[in-house]
Amino acid sequence: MTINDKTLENLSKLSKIKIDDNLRDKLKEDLNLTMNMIDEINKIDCDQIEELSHPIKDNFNLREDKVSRDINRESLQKTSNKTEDGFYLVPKVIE
Amino acid sequence: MVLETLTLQEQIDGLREKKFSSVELVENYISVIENNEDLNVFVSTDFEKAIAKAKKSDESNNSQNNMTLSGIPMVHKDIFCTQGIKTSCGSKMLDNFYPPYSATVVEKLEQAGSICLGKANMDEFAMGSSNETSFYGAVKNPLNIKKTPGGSSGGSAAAVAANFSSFSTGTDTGGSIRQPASFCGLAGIKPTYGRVSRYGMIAFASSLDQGGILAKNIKDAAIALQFISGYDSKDATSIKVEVPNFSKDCESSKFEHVVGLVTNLINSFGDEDLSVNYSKAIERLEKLKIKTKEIELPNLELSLPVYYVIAPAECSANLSRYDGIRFGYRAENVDNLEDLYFKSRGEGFGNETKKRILIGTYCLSSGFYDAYYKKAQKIRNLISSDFVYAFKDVTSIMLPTTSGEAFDLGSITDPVEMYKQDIFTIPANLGGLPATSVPFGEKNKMPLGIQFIGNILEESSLLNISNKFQLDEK
Repeated sequence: MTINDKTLENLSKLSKIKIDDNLRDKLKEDLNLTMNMIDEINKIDCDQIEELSHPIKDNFNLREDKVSRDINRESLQKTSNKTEDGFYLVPKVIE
Repeated sequence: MVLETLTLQEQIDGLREKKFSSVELVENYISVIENNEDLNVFVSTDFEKAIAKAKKSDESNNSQNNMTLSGIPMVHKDIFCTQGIKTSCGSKMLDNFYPPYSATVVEKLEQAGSICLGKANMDEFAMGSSNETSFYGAVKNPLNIKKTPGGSSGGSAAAVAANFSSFSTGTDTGGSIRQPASFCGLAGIKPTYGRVSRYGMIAFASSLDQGGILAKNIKDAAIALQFISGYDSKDATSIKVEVPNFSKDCESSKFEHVVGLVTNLINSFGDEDLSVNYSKAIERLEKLKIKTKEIELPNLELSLPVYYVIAPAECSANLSRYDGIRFGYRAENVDNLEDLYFKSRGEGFGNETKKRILIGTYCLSSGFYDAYYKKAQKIRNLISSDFVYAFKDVTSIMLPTTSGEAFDLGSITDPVEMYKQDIFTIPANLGGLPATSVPFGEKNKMPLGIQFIGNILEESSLLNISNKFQLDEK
């Protein structure tokens, strides 16, 4: 089994997702089924092949490096219900 | 006159000739939508605004100053940000999200004069092939309510199939426009990666996601695609090339076609119905006197495992933005900042989204990066190269859109079985290639689809062959 309780715990920590206890077994089962399917790629020898990270080669049209203020802070912060004086509020970080 | 069954082209002509008004069109659709709420197509609607816009459009229609899509109602997949209008992406995480800006696709269609009736339900963050992963519940297929409309653009497909609009927007990361189009008896197009701006289109897997159109036929899809295409400085991956006249090219006689066939590959699946439908599609090409050539796509079957490394890897990075702080769902009763992240993400994401983030995290984690992510990218190159090689001899490639017809809601519980839904559609996304789905054949009284894949930026030729193929139905 590729993904056991320990691996799942580690993945939960890395991805910062709390996993409910009642979901663990089903999740492990599904993740292992998926990883078994994915493991097909290990049968292929492609050491000499280059990686392809982007489907259209050499197409990066970066815009001019100029600050634009299309959206102001006030309208951006409306998407959060915990803001104060232009800052986002989070639980206390420093004791 | 029954307005809601008209095609987009018929609506454009009818409005221009003043056979009916935009208000009549919008009101007709609203009444059909209200009588079919059980299909669960919409996450949100704003009919008052739609009627107000239609009135305005009718007034300007008298001034000869109208644009092509003036007064035409349409539906957006709820993945496209709409300023001040809820944009949920089918997730509890974004159930309270009212974007401060609109997607380029939304702006372009607004500028063209179209009127949005509502935002269509979809699989959560576009992760699904049946619409069952939506926080708002599954959409039902208008052709048979026990069946799925497909996913992830299931709401967009059901909207057009149920006559809620003549066209809708969708997105396609591994088949999410073409599979629902096939399941609902529609035409769909996923253009070349970079043809349509991804700005304001909520990200799933950035190297694969592409916006497109679902419509009643290819001609209508071509008309609508015209308006959403084009370079956008807000998306660094959008391609800086001129947009051809798709609707004109779609019906032009200037294109010479050689369609690539993969008969051996299709037969190797051992599914008689699949092979028979493919053979019938070849017969149609022969009847149309279109040249064909058998080609090889030797690595096609590896598309599935490759996709399920790359898409989750990219999604795990993209979805790290949902931290419960700046926007989206925020958990209550938390002990500290770390707890806020864990609980917000644990409570805000649905199970399928969690699974994909975890798979992606695993494939990118220390010790596994080379074995999975790097390896998948190498095989992606092999698959992409197969297409480059094939397109030396052919102008498009014909494949089935799906291996079967729309299945019963709730009938597939094995995740890998569900993922296999996209075996024929994923390769085009890995290669960044444009692809259509055209209705062709049926099984168990449900429609099937045939897919055409075109070369990079060759949408005109692709739409042309798809249109020829579809028109022969009449």
